[in-house]
Amino acid sequence: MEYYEFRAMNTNIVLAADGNLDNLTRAFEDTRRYIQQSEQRFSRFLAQSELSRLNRSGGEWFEASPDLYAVLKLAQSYFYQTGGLFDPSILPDLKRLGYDRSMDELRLGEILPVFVWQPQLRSGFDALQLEGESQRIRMPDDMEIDLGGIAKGWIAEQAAKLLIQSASACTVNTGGDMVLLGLPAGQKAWEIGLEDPLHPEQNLTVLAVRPGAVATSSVVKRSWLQGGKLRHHLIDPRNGQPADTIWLSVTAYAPQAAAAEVFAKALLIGGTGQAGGLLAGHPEIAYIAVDGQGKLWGSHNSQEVFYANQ
Amino acid sequence: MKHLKVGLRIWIALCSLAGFLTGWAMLAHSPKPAPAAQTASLEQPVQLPALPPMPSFSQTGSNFQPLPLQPQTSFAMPRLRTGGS
Repeated sequence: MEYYEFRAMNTNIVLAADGNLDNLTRAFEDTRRYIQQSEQRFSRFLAQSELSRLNRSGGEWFEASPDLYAVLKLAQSYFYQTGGLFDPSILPDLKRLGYDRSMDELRLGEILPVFVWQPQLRSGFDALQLEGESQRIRMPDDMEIDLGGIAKGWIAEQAAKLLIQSASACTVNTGGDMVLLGLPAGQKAWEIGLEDPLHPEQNLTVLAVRPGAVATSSVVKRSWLQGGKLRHHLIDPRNGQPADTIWLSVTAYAPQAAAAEVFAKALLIGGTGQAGGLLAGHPEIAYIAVDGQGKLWGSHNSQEVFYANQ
Repeated sequence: MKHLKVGLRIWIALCSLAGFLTGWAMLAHSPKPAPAAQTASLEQPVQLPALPPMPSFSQTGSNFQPLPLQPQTSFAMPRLRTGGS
């Protein structure tokens, strides 16, 4: 297995593949270029990204690229499938909480001003209009979108499809959201360390996962201090506040990376009370959750999915 | 007959007296109750610490379960990891 690592989308990217080294060297470079170009398109922190231009187009029809249109169409579908727990239109809430710059900048430790929360009445994500034939998008004046909860998975999926053309098996890991295509030579499953949210330098366990996609949402990774209060980036769309959840992290498995990423987030925000409803009709999805004491919990199918070598 | 009645009354009186004295002695040696000021009353309920919600099977309806595998930290660190970004 050959590895290739770099930094993009404010996170560490790991590419790994089995195959001819010469071919892989070129494929890794192509894949890296694709991911960096996608970041230019989907980042809300780049003023000239396509997403930023869409966010400034409130009330007007916006002609989108096929990629942006595809991600927004997928996002709208997951918005309905999760009963609104996955909602890309929480960007105004994220900004009010201080997440108005990239996480790399936030981690520099600047003290953010005290935040006084006031309920905001604004359009819901269901007000987004998608015009299929012309691939145009129209958002209400007061809507702003953050695709952080779906774009990394979607980009990883497209990048893995590119990489597998030069490999017998490969994975694209975008900061813990990963696509697994094929199986490493001589292996029955991919070995993936499940990071301990309380001690990130350690693994809680090692998962053995068959081809598909794995994604983790965590309340401890993207967190910052605002007015002395600890904030995290997983906003509960029902109240506009960082989700108050018993889970430190949720890791989901799904056939597609975007689904894994979306459901990991929705399951973490929804907690135990919403898990049954979220997974109804989705037998292909499994998840593992870590509680405040570092104990593992899982869906009924979690053992067969996450410990596929047993 | 009269002697029998008198004897019976004396016997009942003695038994009553013995029972009373035994009860007195037991109460005198029992632990003292807590002062009233420290006892919660219905009028002034004591505030209990908030308990975190506990996951349960009935809450989820999806056979949500604790995993029997204990957390392990002794594995070699695989190059691929997931833990959020």
